Amino acid sequence: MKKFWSVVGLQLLACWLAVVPALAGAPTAFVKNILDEVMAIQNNPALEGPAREAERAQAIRRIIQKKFDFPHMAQNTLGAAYGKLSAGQRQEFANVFSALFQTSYTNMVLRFLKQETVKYGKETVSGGQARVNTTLERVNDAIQVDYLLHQQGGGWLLYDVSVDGVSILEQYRSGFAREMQARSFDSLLNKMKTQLQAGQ
Amino acid sequence: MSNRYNFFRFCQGVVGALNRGAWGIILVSVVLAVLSVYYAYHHLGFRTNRSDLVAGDQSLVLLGEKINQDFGSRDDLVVVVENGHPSRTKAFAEALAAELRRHPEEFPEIFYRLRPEAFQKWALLYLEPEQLQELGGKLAEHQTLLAGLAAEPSLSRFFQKVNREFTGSLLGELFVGFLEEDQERHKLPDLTLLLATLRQLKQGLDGSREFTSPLAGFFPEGLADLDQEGYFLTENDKYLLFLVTPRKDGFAQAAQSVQLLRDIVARVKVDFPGVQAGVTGPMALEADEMESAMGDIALATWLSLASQMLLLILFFRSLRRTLVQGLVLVVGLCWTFAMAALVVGHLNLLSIVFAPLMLGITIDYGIHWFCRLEEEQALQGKTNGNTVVCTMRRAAPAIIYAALAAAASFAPLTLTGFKGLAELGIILALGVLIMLVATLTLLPSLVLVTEPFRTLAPAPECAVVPPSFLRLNWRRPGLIVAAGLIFTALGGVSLFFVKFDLNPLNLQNKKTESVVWEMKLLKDSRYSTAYGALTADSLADLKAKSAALKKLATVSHVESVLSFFPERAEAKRGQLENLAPLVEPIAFPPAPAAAADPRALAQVLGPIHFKLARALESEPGLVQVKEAQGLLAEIIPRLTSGRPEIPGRLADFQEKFFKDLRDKWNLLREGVVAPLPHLSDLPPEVRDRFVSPQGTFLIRVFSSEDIWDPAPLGKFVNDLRRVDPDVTGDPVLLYVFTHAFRNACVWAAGVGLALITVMLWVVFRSLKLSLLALLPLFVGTGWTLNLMWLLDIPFNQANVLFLPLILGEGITFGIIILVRWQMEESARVITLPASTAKGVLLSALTTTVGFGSLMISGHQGTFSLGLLATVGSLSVLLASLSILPACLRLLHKQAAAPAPYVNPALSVKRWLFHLVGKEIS
Repeated sequence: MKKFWSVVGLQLLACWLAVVPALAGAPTAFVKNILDEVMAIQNNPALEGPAREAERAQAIRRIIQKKFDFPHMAQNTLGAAYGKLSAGQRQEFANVFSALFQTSYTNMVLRFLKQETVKYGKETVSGGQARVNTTLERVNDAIQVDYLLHQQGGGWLLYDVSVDGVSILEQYRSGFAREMQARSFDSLLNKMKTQLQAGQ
Repeated sequence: MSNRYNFFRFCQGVVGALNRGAWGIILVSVVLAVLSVYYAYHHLGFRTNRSDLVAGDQSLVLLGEKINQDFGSRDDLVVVVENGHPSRTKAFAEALAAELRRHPEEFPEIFYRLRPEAFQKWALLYLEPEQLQELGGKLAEHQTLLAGLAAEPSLSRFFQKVNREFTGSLLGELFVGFLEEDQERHKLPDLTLLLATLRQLKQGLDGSREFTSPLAGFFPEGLADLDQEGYFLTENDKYLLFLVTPRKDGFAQAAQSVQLLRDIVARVKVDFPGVQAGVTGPMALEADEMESAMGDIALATWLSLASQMLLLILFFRSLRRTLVQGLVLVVGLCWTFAMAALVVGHLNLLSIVFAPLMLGITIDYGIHWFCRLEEEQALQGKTNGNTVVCTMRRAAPAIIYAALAAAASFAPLTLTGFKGLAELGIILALGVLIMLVATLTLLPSLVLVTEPFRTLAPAPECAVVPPSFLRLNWRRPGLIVAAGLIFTALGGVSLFFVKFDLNPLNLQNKKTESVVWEMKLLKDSRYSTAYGALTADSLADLKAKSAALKKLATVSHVESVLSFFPERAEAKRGQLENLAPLVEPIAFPPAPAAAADPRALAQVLGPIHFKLARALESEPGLVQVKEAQGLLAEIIPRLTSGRPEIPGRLADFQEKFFKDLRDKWNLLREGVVAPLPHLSDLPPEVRDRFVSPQGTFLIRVFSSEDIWDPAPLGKFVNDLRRVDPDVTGDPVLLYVFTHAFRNACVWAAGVGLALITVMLWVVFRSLKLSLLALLPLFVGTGWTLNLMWLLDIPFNQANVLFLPLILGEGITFGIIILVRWQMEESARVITLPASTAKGVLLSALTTTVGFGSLMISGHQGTFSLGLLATVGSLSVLLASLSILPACLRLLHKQAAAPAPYVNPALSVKRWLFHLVGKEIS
């Protein structure tokens, strides 16, 4: 019996050892894949110029839609307040948040990611979560952008991006908390909807 | 023996006596004139203070003197500096202060700034509650940054924190910006602190030793840069005010002080090209007015003398007679100066004009005398001495009546209670009588010794057929009278449209420096150098009065010791207690953590540059971003250049930066626990100005509107009086005394006119003739009013003083024409003899050219005086030579007029009998 457990243990260890390198490479590849796609759109001569910005935005948005874990992010941004919402409210909030985030993130990419060179740095994986450090470089300037991912449904999904040490999710958290403290969840949701309509 | 014959014999005797003692009279007159000049030179003072114009026991004057005594009479001069660039303006003020301190005797005190060190402990209490709230918000928001910096005070750390906050703001705007209310939304974070620091960093890396605190954006205005605080700025910060107390020792000293201050300001301005500054204030306004008026009057006097001499030569066709006339006037003037010294002892701002005024009136006496002599000589021969007797006999009565009437018109001024006017009235009334004596004694004496009269043998009668004026037949006198009276009646209508301008600034030359800057202050900042002054007996009284004054719409601001204490200090103390937990735990060490590494700092700055560059690509019009990005594009290469001087310069900058931060932080730490300030905490220059040795408090109140304009001035003064009836100060004095002055002038004119009417009635024994004698005055006045309306000439404090000249002239002309008309049948036949008309014409023209020359003056008061004198004397002249003769023509058809009292000097008894209606046997 003891031998059996030893064999199982070894097999599990072997499996773990076999899986870890694959998992370790995946977050960086996942991020690289996204950034390559985005860069391809941004640097596509056919889509150059302000007149084609809407097309570029649409293409980038399509990429973002598939790569972020919006329900998780939506829940995270509300913190403890999320637990007090009804299922309907949660669903509505997640939908609105997802759309808003896509718009904002697309705008950020359009604004800040153009002819930069992306250098991939350290990758940290721990307990189903990963952090991929990158540096965006252009001429003499550089900026640190870290991507935070976790495993979801057998693959990796992004749930936060940190620019120069500042987390986007944290911005949401503090902003939403201020709004709910000053006013209410309904006010927050209304403002999000108004912003969404304005963006469309 | 008839009165007429007696008078003829009397005149003959006088002329004989004058002939015999002519040289003696001339010698005595001249010696007396020299002695008069000597006496006046040593005894006649000159008082320029406006308070010398009112009686010394006036309650307002006493109140003003008490305030001056208790709180000191300071800040008479004000240097106004346009605050184009605040730091340059303040540097100019410091340079000016340094220069003025080199003249302690001329300028014993300057007051332009309250040293911020004296108030440093309470600096936070001087902020507005909103500013304290904002400061609290910033301290809470940047708590991590500040704590981090205190733990590791280095530039790298600072920029890391700034970058982090900048990134946070950028992402916040992108992702949750929609949550902010519209007014709070910023497309990009405020880069003020970053920009200011980068500017100073670049300057430091370039080797500059200068350092301006870049923390202005973080700390509220008032704490940001204490070196720039404590200056006196007008409400809208448009002007910096620099108060100077000069040595006070009369007008000459004041004029010198003003000039010296202007010279010093001009010298300082050389080092500050582009800075605009000028000198104003009560003393400068007064000195400029006097200087401008005096300067213009000196030129106008020469012009006036020359034109009058020319006119006299032209009319007399004799240089000799012109010089005789001139000598009589000069001698009479010398006597009058001595009389003024003896009776009054000084001249004031009003009586200083007595000489031209008196000469303008009394020159007429000599003119009429000479014109009559010409007529007699034309009829009896030039060398016939009887012509002098006839001239004395026929011209002297009218001249005497005219002089008495003029003296009577000035006499009421002595009863106005207005000291300045009373002194002027005394000098003029006595001066006119002195001139009368000179005209009737010295003038004939001079004529007798300078002209060849072969005989003074008595002749039975004087010549009887004078030529008429322009040989006019006066065929339609009724038409002339009707037309003239219609125009006169229109004068009554015009009176409603001619205003009395009480604004003393309108009298000034608009181009004088003090007026220009006073007007600028009024226009751009609603500030005036004049203020209402009142006192409070206790701090509670002070608070109550200040609160009441601040509620008034007519008050722009109130100055007292309370102005130097923070407002709502108790409430702010509570706010500061809330700030204490944010401030007290953080303490900055005395020196930065370590020498800054240029390359490490460049790496920290790189991400900031990256983000700014990307933001600029999206929106190239962002000014702050563009400048910050440009600065970083210059700074980063310098830091990575490896040049040997860079580390040292960076270390130097880092030290200055953290010293500045530490100083400001310590100010906060001290401020959040400081107790409330007390009276004893105020600097001495404030206490001396606002707290008397007896413990009373001074309140200075400034008007929100133009106090030089009578309407707002009245509202302002009445409002202040409702708060405290004992209010004084320049606006109150201005309001009270300008109105009192106007009323006194009107009252004196009315009483003078009544006196003259009574006198004329006594002289003519006929109300009709008395009124006729006043006709040139009334008609001339009516026409003058019409012309004033048409030419837009208002009455003002300057030209109203010369109204007696016009009144005197009108009465003189009326009396001269009427007395002759009544005395001489031959004159009645031709209505207006040529010599009488010539005398009137020449008198009016000498006034016109004499006072018209004042119109060259830039001083508006002097100009308006010249214009009014010209318009008035020409109107009176026209009335005297047209309406009056036409009336006389109409009257001649009626019964013969009664004879006047032509021999007043003969017997007082005879006069009295006539007055009571008894005949003398």
